[in-house]
Amino acid sequence: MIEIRELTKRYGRSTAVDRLSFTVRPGHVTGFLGPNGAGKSTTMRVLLGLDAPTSGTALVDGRAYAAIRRPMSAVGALLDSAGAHPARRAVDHLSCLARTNGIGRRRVAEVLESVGLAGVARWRVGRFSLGMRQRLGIAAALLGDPGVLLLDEPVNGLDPDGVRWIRELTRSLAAEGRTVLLSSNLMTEMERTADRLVIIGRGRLIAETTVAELAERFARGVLVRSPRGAELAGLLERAGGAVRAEPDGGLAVTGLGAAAIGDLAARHGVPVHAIRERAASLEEAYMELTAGAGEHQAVRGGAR
Amino acid sequence: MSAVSGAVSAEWLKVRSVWSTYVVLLVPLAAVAFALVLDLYATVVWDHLLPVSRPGYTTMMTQAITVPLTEIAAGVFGVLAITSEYATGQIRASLTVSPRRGLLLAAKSPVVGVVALVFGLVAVGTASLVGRAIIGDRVAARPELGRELVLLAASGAAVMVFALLGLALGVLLRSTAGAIVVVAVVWYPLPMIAQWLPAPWNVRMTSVVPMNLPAEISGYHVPGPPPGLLSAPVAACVLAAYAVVPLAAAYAVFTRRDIR
Repeated sequence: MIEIRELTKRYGRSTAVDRLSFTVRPGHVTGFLGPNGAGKSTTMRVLLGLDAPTSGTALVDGRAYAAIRRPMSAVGALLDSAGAHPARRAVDHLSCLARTNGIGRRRVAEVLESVGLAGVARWRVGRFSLGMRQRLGIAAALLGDPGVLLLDEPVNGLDPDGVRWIRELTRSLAAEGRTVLLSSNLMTEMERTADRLVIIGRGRLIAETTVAELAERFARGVLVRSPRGAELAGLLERAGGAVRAEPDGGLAVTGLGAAAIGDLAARHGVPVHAIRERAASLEEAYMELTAGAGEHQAVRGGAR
Repeated sequence: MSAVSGAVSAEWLKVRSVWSTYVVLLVPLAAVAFALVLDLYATVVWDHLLPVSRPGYTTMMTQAITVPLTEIAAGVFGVLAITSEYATGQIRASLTVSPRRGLLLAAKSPVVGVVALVFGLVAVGTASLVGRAIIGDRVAARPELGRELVLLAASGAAVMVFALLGLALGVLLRSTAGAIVVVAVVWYPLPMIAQWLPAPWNVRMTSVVPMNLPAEISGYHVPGPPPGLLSAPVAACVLAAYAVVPLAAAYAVFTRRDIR
């Protein structure tokens, strides 16, 4: 369980995180979303004790991270890129980390095996591709078999196989009852991996929700096309739906499902040429939520 | 395994699992080899001298080569022990698994210090004792063995001090280039500048630069004026201060500052 309470972090005059509060519960993959510069990495760094908060608290299982004696068995973290000396062999890199927490060589070999790096354990990290580095970072996070995992942009640089591997890994870790917080600035990827979402922008909480709730909140009803649109609109309104005419002649209906609309039209003999549920893509929902919250934004159709 | 021994063994593995350690420590070995070649050359020259010319003949103290080169190599080694972590992002992983920052520095310092001390003693010791054996009784202008051993120990300590100074500066500056420049300034330009200060500051300053402290500690100096004004215990304290003061500053900063 991760609790962020009223967390503020300023660097000089710029505020990276602004009175942010949210909770990450065990048993789910929680997506931590926000545009670049929203404060995701800062929040994670403060949570891990790397940066001191200006005010507020960030707790892991009710404790400040720095107070945990052998933190690897409580929290596994992947911060952007593996953070390993390029001249060091992969197995030595992991051993350096493991030794600080009294973790033995056998466990190091085990995690290398589980992330698929056993064959290159004696390679120097500098020879690794970006994807292999990410795997090494995940291996480091898993070393202590922790109950909480913090993964900052874990799919960066991964090929489709790697992306799927992370998805399946994080879901299975959550299914084992662990707390998994996964940051990303891509909604499309979160949609498939996460159950819960924490969305931030400019250091502030925008939404703390579930994927299902967000989809529902941004559902945009059913689109119906009919050559007798006005007549159908009247029928739908009488049946309790809200109807809005779209510029292209279709009807956007909310409050009635596609089945109910089809049945109603059939009962009154009104022909229907098209009927389609307009599930908002979460990508659009996310864009809408975070509009204006990006640190650096391109001006659309900008000046040349 | 306790937290302290775990931290120390991790730091030891860090030191011995990267190439840069071996590359940096090769420099003193080359200096030792060079010093021994010079000693051999001196004996060849001696053996070909006419007996009448021999009384005025002196050889160079080859410590003048091995000690400074071992010192600067150790300084670079100390700097890299921490700045390589900043440069590669390893520092974030290191502190995530070991959030007690004081412990990290407390584990790194003895590892860096002991490696440098052992290496310093081996390099300087090989050069001076093997050199002594090569020269034999040919030239009289060497200290007696007991005094040379004290000089050797003090030089080994100076090598360690440079490594710890480098480590502390690396923590404070977080930049490999910046820290190496400062170490290098303390190593050579500072003693040179000190010599050219107006009296009495030239003597005062040359007495406290690291370059001259081993000689002051051992009390050995080539015929002529003594290298400095300090007594052996005071000189030893000044040498220690070159490591302790920067390390204390590094500890104070490292335990408080955000890790970028």
